[in-house]
Amino acid sequence: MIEQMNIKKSEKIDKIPIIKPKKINEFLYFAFRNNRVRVGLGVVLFFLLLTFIGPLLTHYKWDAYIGPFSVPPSSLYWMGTTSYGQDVFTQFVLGLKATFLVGVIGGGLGTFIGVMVGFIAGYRGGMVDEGLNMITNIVLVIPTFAILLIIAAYLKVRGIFVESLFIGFTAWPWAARAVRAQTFSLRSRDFVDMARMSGMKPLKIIFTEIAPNMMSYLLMTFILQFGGAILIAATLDFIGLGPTNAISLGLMMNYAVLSGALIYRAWWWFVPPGFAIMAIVGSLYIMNVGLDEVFNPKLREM
Amino acid sequence: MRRYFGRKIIIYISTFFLAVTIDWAIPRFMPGNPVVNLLSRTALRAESAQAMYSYYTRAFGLDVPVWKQYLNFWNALFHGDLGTSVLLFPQKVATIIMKAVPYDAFLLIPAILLSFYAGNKFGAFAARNKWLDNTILPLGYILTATPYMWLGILLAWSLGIVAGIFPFASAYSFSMVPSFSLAFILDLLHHWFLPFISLFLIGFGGWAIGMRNMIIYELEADYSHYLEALGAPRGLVRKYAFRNAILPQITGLALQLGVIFSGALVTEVVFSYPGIGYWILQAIQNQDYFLLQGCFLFIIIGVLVANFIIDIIYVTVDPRTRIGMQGGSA
Amino acid sequence: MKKVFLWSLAVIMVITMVAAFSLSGCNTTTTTETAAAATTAAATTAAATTAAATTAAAAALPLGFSYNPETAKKILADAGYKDVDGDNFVEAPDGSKIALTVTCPLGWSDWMEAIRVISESAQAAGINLKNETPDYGAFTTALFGGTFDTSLYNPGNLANTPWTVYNAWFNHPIVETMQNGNYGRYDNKELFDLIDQLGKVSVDDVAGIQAVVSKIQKIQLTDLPYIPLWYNGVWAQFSNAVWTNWSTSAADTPKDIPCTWNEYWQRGGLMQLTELKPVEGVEPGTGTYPRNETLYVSGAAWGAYSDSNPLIPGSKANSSGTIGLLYETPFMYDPLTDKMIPWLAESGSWIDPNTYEMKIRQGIKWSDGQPLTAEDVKFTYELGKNFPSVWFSPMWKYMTEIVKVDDYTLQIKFTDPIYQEFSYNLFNLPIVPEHIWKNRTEVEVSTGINENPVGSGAYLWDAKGMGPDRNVWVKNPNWWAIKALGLNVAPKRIVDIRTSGNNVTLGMILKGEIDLSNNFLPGVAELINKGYVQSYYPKAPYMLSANTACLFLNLTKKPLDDPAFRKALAFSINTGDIVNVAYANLVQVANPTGLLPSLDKYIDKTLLGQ
Repeated sequence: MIEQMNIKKSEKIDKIPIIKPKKINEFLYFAFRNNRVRVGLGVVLFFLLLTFIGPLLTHYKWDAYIGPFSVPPSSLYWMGTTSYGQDVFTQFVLGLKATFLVGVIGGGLGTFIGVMVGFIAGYRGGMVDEGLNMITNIVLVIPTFAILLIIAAYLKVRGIFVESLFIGFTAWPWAARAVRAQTFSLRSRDFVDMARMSGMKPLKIIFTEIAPNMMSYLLMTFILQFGGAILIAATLDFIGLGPTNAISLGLMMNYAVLSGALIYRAWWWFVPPGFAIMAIVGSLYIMNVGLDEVFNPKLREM
Repeated sequence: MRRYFGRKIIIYISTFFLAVTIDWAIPRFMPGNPVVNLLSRTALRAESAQAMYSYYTRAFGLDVPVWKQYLNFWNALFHGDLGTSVLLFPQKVATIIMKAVPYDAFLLIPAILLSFYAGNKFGAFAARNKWLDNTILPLGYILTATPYMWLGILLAWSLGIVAGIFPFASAYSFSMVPSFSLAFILDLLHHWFLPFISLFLIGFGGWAIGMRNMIIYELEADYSHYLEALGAPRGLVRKYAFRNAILPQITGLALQLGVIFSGALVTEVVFSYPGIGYWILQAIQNQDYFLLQGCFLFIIIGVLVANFIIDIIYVTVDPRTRIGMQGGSA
Repeated sequence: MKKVFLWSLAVIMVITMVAAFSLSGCNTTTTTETAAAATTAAATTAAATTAAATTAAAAALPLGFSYNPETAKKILADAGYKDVDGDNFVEAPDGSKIALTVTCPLGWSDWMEAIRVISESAQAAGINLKNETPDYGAFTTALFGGTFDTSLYNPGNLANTPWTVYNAWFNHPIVETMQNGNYGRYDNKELFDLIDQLGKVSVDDVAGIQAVVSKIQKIQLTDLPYIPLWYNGVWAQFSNAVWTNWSTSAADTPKDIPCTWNEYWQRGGLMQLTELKPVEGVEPGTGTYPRNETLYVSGAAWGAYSDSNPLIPGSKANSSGTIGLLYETPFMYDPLTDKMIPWLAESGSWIDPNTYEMKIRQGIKWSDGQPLTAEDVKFTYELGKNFPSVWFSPMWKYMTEIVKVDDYTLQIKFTDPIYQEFSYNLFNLPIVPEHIWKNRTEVEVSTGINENPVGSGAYLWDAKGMGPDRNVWVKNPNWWAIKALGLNVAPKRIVDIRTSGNNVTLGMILKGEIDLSNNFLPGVAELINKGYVQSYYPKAPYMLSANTACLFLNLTKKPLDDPAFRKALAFSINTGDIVNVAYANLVQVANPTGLLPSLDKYIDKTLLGQ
């Protein structure tokens, strides 16, 4: 009996294309022709570029009082100033950096843990599977949010890195479930049986036979975790559990709301950070759809 | 069937046991002592504080060894007593939670169910209609990618303050007293709308996308091609595809419903809506062990129950699972 | 493979358990057991070093301080602090590195901005001070427990004498958990004796108080164990859309403090309600409560309802009004005129140095119809004698007995009374009905919910109207002051609203849903200038001063035990930026003595002139 697993975004049950090394070129060819991938990647790269170039364009510190209060965007202050007279553009580009960092570290960690757990559970089955399943369920059951809140109470000072770790350690169940389902279906394939009969160690089988055939899937899982990590970080920042001495897009929104930015019509402090998150994560998801089409040729005819 | 459920129940019970133990343990490992905290809030002079200290310690059951506290906890649990809150001493935790839950349920259940229904319907449409696929779907992705609080605040600001057509604070008007009158119910709904719509929009996107992907895979499956080859009408093919596609969505629904019990913290902050999420935040910020514990417990039970119900639904809905349980192969 | 998995699982579990237990702060036997008697070793060392340092280096430094980074650097250099490793931060004279933190509770956005300014300006002067924002619980644990470096806090309140705030700043004796003040554990016997002496000066003896306070201030300004920075305001912004005739500084307006915070009802809040006038032509609206009869306030209750017990201090913030609207005190105090107003008591005077005679006003009735007599007052005060857990029980160390002369006269007898504490409590100690409370146990009195409360005040608790985010008070038609003093509170109902944050409060104000907001609303000066709301002062600082925000320094930690270092720190803090930017001019810089403007006559200006 195969239990149906679910991740909300996308999932393949049966047919996973087997990508052999020389097909990488074919993959890249189709990838860059796909509209969705183009658009998605383009937007993400734009913001990434802004992250690197932005700080070079501004010489202010993000929290220094450098100008008049609540000035709308102008040639002098490209994105206006906050109600304390800080430069919104500086905050924005530094915030982008923090956001990307959280996505990479948090998403990466979440993917890694989820993939490991999923592989092991899916391949071994039996009691190991049940055990890991229980752990997965527990991590899912205990509201991760609340755990994060608690851990945050321990730490007086929190940085971006710590926040990413939290997120990584609590967001992996989704990835684990999905990877487990895939591994399940893969492990009954012929080539895996062959490898097993030839006496290969299980860990080696996972990494040399099963994983390469799921590369596409792993990549998409990473992208989803990346986007998810950014959203979770934004929420944490907003309730005040973000890094204590840094700036991120979520923190910008938090400070803006605490100062009643919208009420005082200072939209430039509140709207751009949220818009940037929406654009980056949305593009990631769209890119994911595109990649799905690339990996699964049957979808291309849609 | 019995083996399947038997195994499930054992797993649930052990998960419950473990989760509750962790739930009991975690607040206790937080730095600080809740009694000292409570006393310091009261700003009692040292002499008065000392007299109260032992009373409070006894009142919270902290004067017994840790293992005994653990057993007392289980004992109280079976009596429905979740302890006394430190933050709102002397109110009982169960009272606080029970007062807060209806608001969460009222808000979240319709939001989740409606977004589930609408999202899946749209996803199914989008799977077969290229135009919809290129317009609604990107919209769905953008919605899922939108940070919830950003959307919520913009809605509150635009519809609530600028346009002034909806109220944006609290569950019901500050000039109303709860009653079964039409006026009150309308007022309640009026206040409910903005939080509901913000939750609905975010959830909608996710379901739509998921469903769309599932339908596409199902439409590519062998049985679909077979049916088409046999000349079955498209509607029939889609009907079967839909049935298969809905299954993983139901698992997701279970998890979402389970999450109801943790409240919608950000919604409560953005719209000043009363609910459990707010209490969790307050409990942590004020080191209220017992309130925290009680809220978590509530959440754990809720999630496990939701999961269990979905497992049952799965069995009734998916014949493969039923057969699989009986030892056959799907 | 299986082995690897199982081993790693085991290792993780072991690590988790070890970490959890070592981090565990959950002790069933804790520090407060030793509260009354203990003095920490650290405190004694600090006392020794503080006392020694006071005489030597302190004499040379200027009294008082203001923002002057150059002076700060000079003081540091003169005292031997040099930057030896080139990181732009000074090291101690013995070469050890300095790394300090300044903390405030997470979420108090104005304070968070203030400590950012503090840390930045201190760093600019060479002091390695970093800002941190722990959760409120962790913050108070560190503050009261003495593990903090420097923290922002504001004990004290508007009072008729400087004794209460000095008692807070220099709370003694020093014990392990200091929860009433003196968080920095400043130990100075001479000073403590002065404060005890101050407590025994009569409240009416202004010259006597000034003499003692001057000596206290000299020590405080020399040693600077805490740094007074700015006056937190009585945040009050009000709308004239439905209710008008609010108190402002303008000529022909009432002069009560428009504040609904706990303890402020009897400092003018209630009087403000009697001065309000409804605006003509306001529609009742469709709610259960007619708009033109209801006053909507926010910023008083910051939690959900917990109890109606006026004898539980601290939690009254959740149902602010329990003391003031429902239960009343013998006197009220008007900080703006520095006058005690006879309230439940018709008069009170010292007929000899050890006897206070209080005459209770006749004709006052409890909300259940029973008369309020001297018996109720005697009973309430004696609760402190019978139950050590009641907050005012320490008064019985110098109160000996209460004699009921007749139904409306009491004589309270003392030995060696602390006049100032007794006087302060005259407008803070609520009177409860003897006929209802007489059979209550100590636990019920100190921790009970006190449902269906019976009080003597202008309003009654409306249990039906209470909701998760609102408290409702309804006018008491039989309030005694209507006949006795000709006072009538204008609003029939008060709805006290709790919102989730400034954003929501601001929105509600803009939509006219709140009449009086006592929240701190950043940037509200803009709304005041545009005419949406009014404040007490039409221009900066807009708000009256409520208490002093001080930076408490932990004198048990090096180099904070060096008065020169503390002085330098005081000179390095850019209070101008705090006031002008972090608070956008809603507060004022504090006098270096820390006393509020309402106690200006007790500030020894000659000391600061030096």
